[in-house]
Amino acid sequence: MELSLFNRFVAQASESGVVFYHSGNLDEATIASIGALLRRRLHEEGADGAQSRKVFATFMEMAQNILHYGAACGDGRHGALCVARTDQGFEVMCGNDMASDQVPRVRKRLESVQAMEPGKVRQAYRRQLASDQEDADSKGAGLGLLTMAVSSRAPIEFVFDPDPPRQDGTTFLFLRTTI
Amino acid sequence: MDAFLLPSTSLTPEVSLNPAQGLLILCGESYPEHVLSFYAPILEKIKAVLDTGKLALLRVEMHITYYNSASAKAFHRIFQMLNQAAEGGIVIDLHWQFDEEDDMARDLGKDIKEDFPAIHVVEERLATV
Repeated sequence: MELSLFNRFVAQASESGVVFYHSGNLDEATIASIGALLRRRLHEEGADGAQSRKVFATFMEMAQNILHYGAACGDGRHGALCVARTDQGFEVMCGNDMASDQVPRVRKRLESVQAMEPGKVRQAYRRQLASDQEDADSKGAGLGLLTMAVSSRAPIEFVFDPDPPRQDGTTFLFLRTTI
Repeated sequence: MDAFLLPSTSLTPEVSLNPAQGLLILCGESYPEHVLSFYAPILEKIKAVLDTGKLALLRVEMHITYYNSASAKAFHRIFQMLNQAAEGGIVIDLHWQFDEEDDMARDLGKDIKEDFPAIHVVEERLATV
């Protein structure tokens, strides 16, 4: 990488309010150590306790989504996670490859959470928690997405790339929530 | 039945179950990658203690500073089990402790009260240090 390019990269990250960024393989040990680092960064940024907890909880659900659903990359699961400052708080984003044949299922679930009125998200979370019906494909009982939605001030945003997805192989999924 | 103690790690809470004292403590963070395999043996041990027929009262102290969604599911199973035991005549005192800034844990405490009416829930709001 040219130093001038790196310079631009650093400047752009700073302009975009990036507080934390990780891209690479994720496993349990990595998640534990970046979690500790993220908490420290949020403290440095002056996040209040409630904000900091919501950012951390959202970040962890995203990390675990990548672990569970991300397309395999060598021995692990590759994904990108980012926390950025905004005027009103923080935004938490993630991106990872996923199996294209899972896109319709994930899209349906994202759209249904996105369409919920703010007051209904927590009700849906409670219903899901109490429900014994385990979705065969969902290792987190679909609760992960609802946990993110409960903490987010705005509906979860998502983008599939490319969209429509390729018939086979993988598709990149981005998510963003607002704290 | 022997007491059981599992020390905390950065990803899992301390779990202490003392049948002689009628005390169950879960304290720390809960976000292991494989939540079910972590909690399955704990659920079994709690069930075994509740099923002895010798217990009149179980004091449960929970102070979980962070839990992921899969852990919330595991806690739900623990509460189901405790609620059932309470319906069967064992007094279950659940001391649900949360940091004052922790909205999510506070709300979960309210949900437990509503969803598991046989459990005696004591909400304890702790000042953040």
